[in-house]
Amino acid sequence: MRNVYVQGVGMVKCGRYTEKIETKAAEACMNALQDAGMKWRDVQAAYAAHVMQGPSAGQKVFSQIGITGLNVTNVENACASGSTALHHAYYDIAYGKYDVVLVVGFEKMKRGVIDANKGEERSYEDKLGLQVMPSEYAQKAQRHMYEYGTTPEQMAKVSVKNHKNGTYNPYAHYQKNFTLEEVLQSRPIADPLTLLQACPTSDGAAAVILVSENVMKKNRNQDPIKFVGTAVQTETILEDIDLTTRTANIAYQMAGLGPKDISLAEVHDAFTIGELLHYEALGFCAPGESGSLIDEGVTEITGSLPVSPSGGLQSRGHPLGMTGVAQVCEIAWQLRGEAGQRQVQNNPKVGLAHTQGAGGICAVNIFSL
Amino acid sequence: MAEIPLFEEGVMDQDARLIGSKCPDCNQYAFPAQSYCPRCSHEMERTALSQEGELYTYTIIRQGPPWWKDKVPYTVGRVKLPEGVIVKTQIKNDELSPLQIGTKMQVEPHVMINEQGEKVKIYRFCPVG
Ligand SMILES: [Zn+2]
Repeated sequence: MRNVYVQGVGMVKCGRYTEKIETKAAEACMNALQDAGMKWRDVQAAYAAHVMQGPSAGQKVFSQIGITGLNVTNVENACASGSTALHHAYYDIAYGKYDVVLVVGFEKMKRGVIDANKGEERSYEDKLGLQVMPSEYAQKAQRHMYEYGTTPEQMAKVSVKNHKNGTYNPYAHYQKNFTLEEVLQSRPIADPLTLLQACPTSDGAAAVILVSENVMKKNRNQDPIKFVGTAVQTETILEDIDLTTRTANIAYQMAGLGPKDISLAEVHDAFTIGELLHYEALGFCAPGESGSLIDEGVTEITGSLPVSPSGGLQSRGHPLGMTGVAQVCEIAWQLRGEAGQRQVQNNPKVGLAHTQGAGGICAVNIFSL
Repeated sequence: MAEIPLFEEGVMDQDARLIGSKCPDCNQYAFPAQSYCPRCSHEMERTALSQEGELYTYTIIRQGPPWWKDKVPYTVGRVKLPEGVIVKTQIKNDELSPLQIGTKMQVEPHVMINEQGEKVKIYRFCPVG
């Protein structure tokens, strides 16, 4: 297997676009190419990650920047689509199929609660109102409160932290601080979660360029960041181990690293309770101790293990196909020391990106200097 | 009087007994019923499931999906049956009270109005006693 590097990253500000999504996604690709010091015709294969943009949306994006005949694959894996595309791009290079692969993730979202059954007859669970995303996370929250005594305040702190981080991120959809009170007092959506504990509905696009060692080149006198671990897994009935833990363990083992080696993480904070659960599942703390971890400020930008310094899904936004790719943009900027006011303070060496998706999907990608 | 139709065939019978499936090879249960075993891929057989279980978790939904907007707030949850399966369900909780996880729950038939404005029979769980 060959080593794989992140040669360039780029994104566009998340928000609610009036422009066509292919225009914005093309801009993200061009930003990544510029960052990589490469041209579109250098790219041998490309992945387009999106969930609801229709057939061949990737081809529409790439035709905006040059019709070069390259290998294009569209990837849909719910909220883990971008991460899944990166996973496959990794192996294209690691196994020697290509030297330069671009991954772009993008989404122009419908407003409001996501309907996961576009174009299909709804399942009986949908018809019964049982299949609502906030309710799934709220039920996890209730269970965590029951098992470990985690409090609504501890969950709300995730929103306060990530919104604060977002105010320093020019690419974030929302750049506004909220107090703990404001988060807790916002409109209830599914007990104990309130509106400001759910990620907003945002449009966005992000791109990453992966390369093999032989074409890798110094980028502003810095060595490109190495892609050291990657795993995509789904739910199992066969063993009693958390999906995220199982996925992370595969990626950790591949990287020869463990939770203690992680300098910063971008995790799937679609709802605040999610981020707390991921602290535990990724091994950042013991089961039941995620509430203390946020209380102690460990995961703040200034802490010893910053989580979602970009503002996360809560504040940067969660354009479905974009998320896993934008996480890698943030990790690259942080590892290079280019994150400006939101730069983590712990001299970061290793970054972890985690997404999960409806239908029981988890993806973990790890990057190292 | 004509019987109120089930909201979906194959999920429960007219008495709201849930219909799941059981694997004759490894004794794994599934709900809703499926053709092949999620553990060993053997063909499964239809079976009625226990009518009582334990509340595993729940929430009160205050903001529903578009097709359920007019029904909020309502309580949903997961009930763990003795067979080991966890059933996603609506929960009878007219007062919208906080519930106690671990509470004994019983399945019951319930009539609701579907998206087309027709009466249909669904299952739901309610606390015992
Ligand atoms: Zn079986």
